[in-house]
Amino acid sequence: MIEEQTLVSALQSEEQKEAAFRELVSQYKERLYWHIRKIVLDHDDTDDVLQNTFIKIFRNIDSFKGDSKLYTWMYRIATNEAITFINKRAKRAQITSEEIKENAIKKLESDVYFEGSAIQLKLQKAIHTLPERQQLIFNMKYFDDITYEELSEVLETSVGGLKSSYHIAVKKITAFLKADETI
Amino acid sequence: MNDEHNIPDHGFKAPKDYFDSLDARLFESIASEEIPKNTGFSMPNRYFETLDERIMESVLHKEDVGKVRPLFNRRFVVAVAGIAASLLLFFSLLQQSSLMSEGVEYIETTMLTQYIEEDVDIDLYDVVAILENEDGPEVTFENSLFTKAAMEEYLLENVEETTLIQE
Repeated sequence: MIEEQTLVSALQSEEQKEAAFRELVSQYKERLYWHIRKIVLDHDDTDDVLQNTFIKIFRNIDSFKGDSKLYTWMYRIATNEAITFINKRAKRAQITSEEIKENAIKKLESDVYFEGSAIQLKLQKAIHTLPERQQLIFNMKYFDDITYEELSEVLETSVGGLKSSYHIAVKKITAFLKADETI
Repeated sequence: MNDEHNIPDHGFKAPKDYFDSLDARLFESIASEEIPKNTGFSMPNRYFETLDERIMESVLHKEDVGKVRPLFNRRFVVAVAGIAASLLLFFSLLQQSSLMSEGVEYIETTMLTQYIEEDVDIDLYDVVAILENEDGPEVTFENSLFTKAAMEEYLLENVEETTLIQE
């Protein structure tokens, strides 16, 4: 794996840009795929958003100044792309983005690319009862094991605020799963 | 008690701030045991094996033919203004009714917004990229002078894309 600073320098040089970008895609495609997938839920939608994310990264790599880690910068672009995707779709369908997400959750039950158990389906339902920001924090912290410091770079929020949001999210999800057990 | 039996203190030390974060860490691990760690999502066979090439193709293809029409390109602005002026003149000659002004309002508030949101693939990063490619070193707003670098930094750090579209 190429060191980040070397990769960034290569990405910002005209001669090496394409080869460096291939390396970047190879290194980060899976992480970004799973990050986006947990937001938009559907595989084909994820594929679209992922491609748009990499296009944005390619076009804007020259404006990356190294103030944050490269992958937290990419996570930020991926997050924006995923949210913009949902908002655009909601606008087109003239419904709210929450309704779009509810529909996506309903579709999971018959999705050939969702092989989760009943409890995993419940977990997705529970996550989508949270406010958007808490969803992002929970997904990144719980599934991706991103540190609070890195999360703080992605979401541009204080570490203290993130910790508090994460604890609230975990509490709500646990309560949802327990409540659902009794139904 | 220690004093009574003359037994010294145990001598152990806990890391600094250990007890401050203990509750939170315990809570996390207990809660995590009740929440599954896998999402259950899957994808088509060999999806990641072919992904690199598809991404490279779409990235390079978009760069070649699909580059965003610059929002601030002078020729584009002149062309749009020319078309708009022609249309306005045509319609005002055709009929000078109040219906016309309502029609123009309608185009501005709904169709234009919808067009920008759905069909124009441009965002804050693109605006910044356009600014970087512009010839002039500075942009003047009324009496204030901003350097491009300052404006790019401000846009990227302070403006939400969605806000830009909505406003």
